Amino acid sequence: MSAAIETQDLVRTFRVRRSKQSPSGAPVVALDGVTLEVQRGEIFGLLGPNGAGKTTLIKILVTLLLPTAGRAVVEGFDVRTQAQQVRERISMVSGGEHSGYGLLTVREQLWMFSQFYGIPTGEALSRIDRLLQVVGLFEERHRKVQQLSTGMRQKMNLVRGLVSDPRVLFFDEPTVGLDVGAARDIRAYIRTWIADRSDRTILLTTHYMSEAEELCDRVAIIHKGKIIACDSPAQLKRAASGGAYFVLNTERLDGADFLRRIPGVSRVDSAERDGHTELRLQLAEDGAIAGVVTALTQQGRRILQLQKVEPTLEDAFVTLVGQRLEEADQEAGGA
Amino acid sequence: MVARAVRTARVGFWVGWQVQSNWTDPFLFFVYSVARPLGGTLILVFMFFVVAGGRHGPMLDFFVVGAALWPTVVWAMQGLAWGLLEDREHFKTIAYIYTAPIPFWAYLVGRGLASAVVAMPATLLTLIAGIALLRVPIILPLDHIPYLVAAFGLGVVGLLAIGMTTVGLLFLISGEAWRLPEAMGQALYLLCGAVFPITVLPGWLEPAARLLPVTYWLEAMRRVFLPADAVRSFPGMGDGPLLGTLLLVTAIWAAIAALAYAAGLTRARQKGILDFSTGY
Amino acid sequence: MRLQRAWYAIRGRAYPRTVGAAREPSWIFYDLALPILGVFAFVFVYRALDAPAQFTSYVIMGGATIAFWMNVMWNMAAQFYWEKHQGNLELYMMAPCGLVPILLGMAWGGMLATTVRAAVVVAVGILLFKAPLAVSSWPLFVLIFTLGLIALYGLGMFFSSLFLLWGREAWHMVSLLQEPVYLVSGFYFPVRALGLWVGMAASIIPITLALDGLRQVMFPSFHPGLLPVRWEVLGLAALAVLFVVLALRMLRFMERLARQEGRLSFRW
Ligand SMILES: Nc1ncnc2c1ncn2[C@@H]1O[C@H](COP(=O)(O)OP(=O)(O)O)[C@@H](O)[C@H]1O
Ligand SMILES: [Mg+2]
Repeated sequence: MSAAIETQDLVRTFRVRRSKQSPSGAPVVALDGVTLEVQRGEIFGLLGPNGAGKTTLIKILVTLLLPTAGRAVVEGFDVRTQAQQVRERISMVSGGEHSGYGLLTVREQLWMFSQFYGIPTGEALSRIDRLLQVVGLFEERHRKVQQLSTGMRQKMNLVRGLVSDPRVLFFDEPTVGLDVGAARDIRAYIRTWIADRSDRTILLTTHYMSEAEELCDRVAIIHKGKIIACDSPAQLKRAASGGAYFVLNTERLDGADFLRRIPGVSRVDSAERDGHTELRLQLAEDGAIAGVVTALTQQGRRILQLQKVEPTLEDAFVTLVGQRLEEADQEAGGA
Repeated sequence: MVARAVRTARVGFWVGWQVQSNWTDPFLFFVYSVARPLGGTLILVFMFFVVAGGRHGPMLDFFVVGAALWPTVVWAMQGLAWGLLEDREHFKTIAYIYTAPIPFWAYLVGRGLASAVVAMPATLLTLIAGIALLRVPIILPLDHIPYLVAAFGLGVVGLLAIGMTTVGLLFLISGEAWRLPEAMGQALYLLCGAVFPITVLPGWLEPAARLLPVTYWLEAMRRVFLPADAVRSFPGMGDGPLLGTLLLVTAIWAAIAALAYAAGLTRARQKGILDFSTGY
Repeated sequence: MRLQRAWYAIRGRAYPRTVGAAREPSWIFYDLALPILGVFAFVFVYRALDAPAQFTSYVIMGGATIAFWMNVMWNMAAQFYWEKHQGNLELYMMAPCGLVPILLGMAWGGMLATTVRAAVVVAVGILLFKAPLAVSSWPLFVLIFTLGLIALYGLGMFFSSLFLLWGREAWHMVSLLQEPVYLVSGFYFPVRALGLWVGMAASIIPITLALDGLRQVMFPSFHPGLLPVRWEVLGLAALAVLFVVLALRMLRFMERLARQEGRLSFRW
């Protein structure tokens, strides 16, 4: 096995005008010493909240941005000095992309992009038709791009990324803003594509735990420009399982703070669900659940359901970052 | 209703001012208020000198006043039309603005007015350059001022009406059409005798000139600024009848504008393209 | 191989322009009919001044040239502004064909509309306004025209590179290059009228020499040329080489700078 993507101490800073992120006008550090190795044949995920530096990393790898320091190599070529060779081997699809020209039909638009990769027309069109069939867009091939729904549009973008038959594919939040069905289709196709091609590589950024968990062979958790963990989803979860996890349904609670003070309770997340409260508890060990049950009973709240659960990637994230993903997003200023 | 329209127009004016006023940016001021208008005027001046060989003459005065006022024509229309295009394609806010309970047309009128005001320095600069460098006999007797105000006001209304008619079209065509307002300006340049008396137009074009408010507006402004023996587009028409005709033609155009706007909007909504954005 | 890819890319990028022109024929109105009316305003200016008929031809030539100028400046150079906005610029930049074929494709695709516009101006000028057009030497005419066109497109590519880094600012810059350029390049009158030295300075814009050269070829005894035709041809050839070379280097340089500064995508 050899690495398809390698980065070493990658740093990228942006000079900015005074802003919320940088009240002093000091440079924003988007990547702060990122070292990664993605193997050929892998689907590698970059998971992190808004502003973590995911897009910045992808842009460096696809030669749209130069690193401030450090080195990045894609398929053996340096993104800084061998951009041309890198470009011949990659493509990128981003979420919420509005590329192309609304007046063209789906097929025309895809043909146009294929021409920038030097694919002869006949070959390009047969590839496009085949791919459109696979993603379920064949019926729409003669529709104008401006008439597509967001989901269809993203499927078309996916085909655009695939039509040049790249060695390495970059997806930047490919399912952002899509409905569940469209997102599932896209994920399913990403998986089949790589399953048939063991020498290809996918690097995907996401914001969705389930997406990372479902798709990725390995996941790097990135936060504030730093990689804070990098492993398979299973290993990450295991690493996080310092303790026991329970889901507990109870009658509506006004606040969960009193639970956090109970010895042995490391973390409580509460959510309202049709009139009752669902608590997700991280405990130091199984026994601590007794204290929680007692405290709830003292408050006069009935326990509707109690279940011991396996830690999720979200739990791993919380353990590593000290915050849930949404909280980190909010800190970064929301979407 | 009226109060709401006025309030909306004020919002539009404010937005237009923010977007277009360039007095604080020296580069933009230079481009739009100095270089382009003076460039346009100097083209005419050199055309004049190439033919007349350095002598002065009444046609030169005619050019200078027409060219000086021209930025107002283009900008008033452009401000309005770009109000639509920018909100649709650039800021992507048209859906919100349109669905907000405000008369969208009043918002656009506000933007057009802001734009017309932004064009004023160009007009003043050109007139001053004409007086100082080309010795154009521009005068403004105090008793001409009421006439000036009336004619200028009507002219701006006429321009906004033409601009609003353009908006009716723009509802239906793509973002590539951002050049449309300027193109309308270019066509008007010919049709309303901006830089030559319409008497030199061939017989079949002259009626077109007579249907446009801008023709009468420019003539009225020339009568305000230039001495009585200057070249005229309507030599036989007195000052009073000229103003009356301007009023009449402006009213007709206001009606056309209302129709075009309503028709364009309805059609765009039927086709579902109110908030589209395309290019090629 | 690389040439073939470049050719495919040119064709690819030209395609949306050509089908766009067919699918949205409204350009005939705002890019053809209305602006042409504006050109003819200058014919009437000369009529009002009782100028000789050759002046009508000056206007016609200037009007046809504007079509090319607009294609180069707006449909090619400034187009990157819009592409950046839409997110296409990144995809173009990432594609192995490079930016030059894409720029050429834009220009080529816009050529249909441009040629139509120029042809209509000339046809209306000859038929309706009886503009005298006589060419004393066709080979020379074609040579000047071709050199002028190459230099002009080189200049356009040079400007397009500015849009890699700047957005709105470069847009205003292109906007500036209208009336002032029509003035100093003598679109509507012999550039000599501006004086020898102003004319020489204005010759950095290739249209100046091209128009003056063409006019000398057409009206050898009537037109007050800026320089002897031979010199103008040489000058144009030099400009053509200069701008093409400069544009290629500038594109490379600006691409690097834009990658360094993170300015290839549009940030709200
Ligand atoms: N071109 C740029 N100029 C200035 N700051 C930038 C630029 N691109 C990204 N940033 C900043 O760098 C940080 C990382 O951004 P990004 O890589 O887009 O994050 P993510 O994709 O993980 O949400 C953010 O703080 C962002 O504001
Ligand atoms: Mg991102």
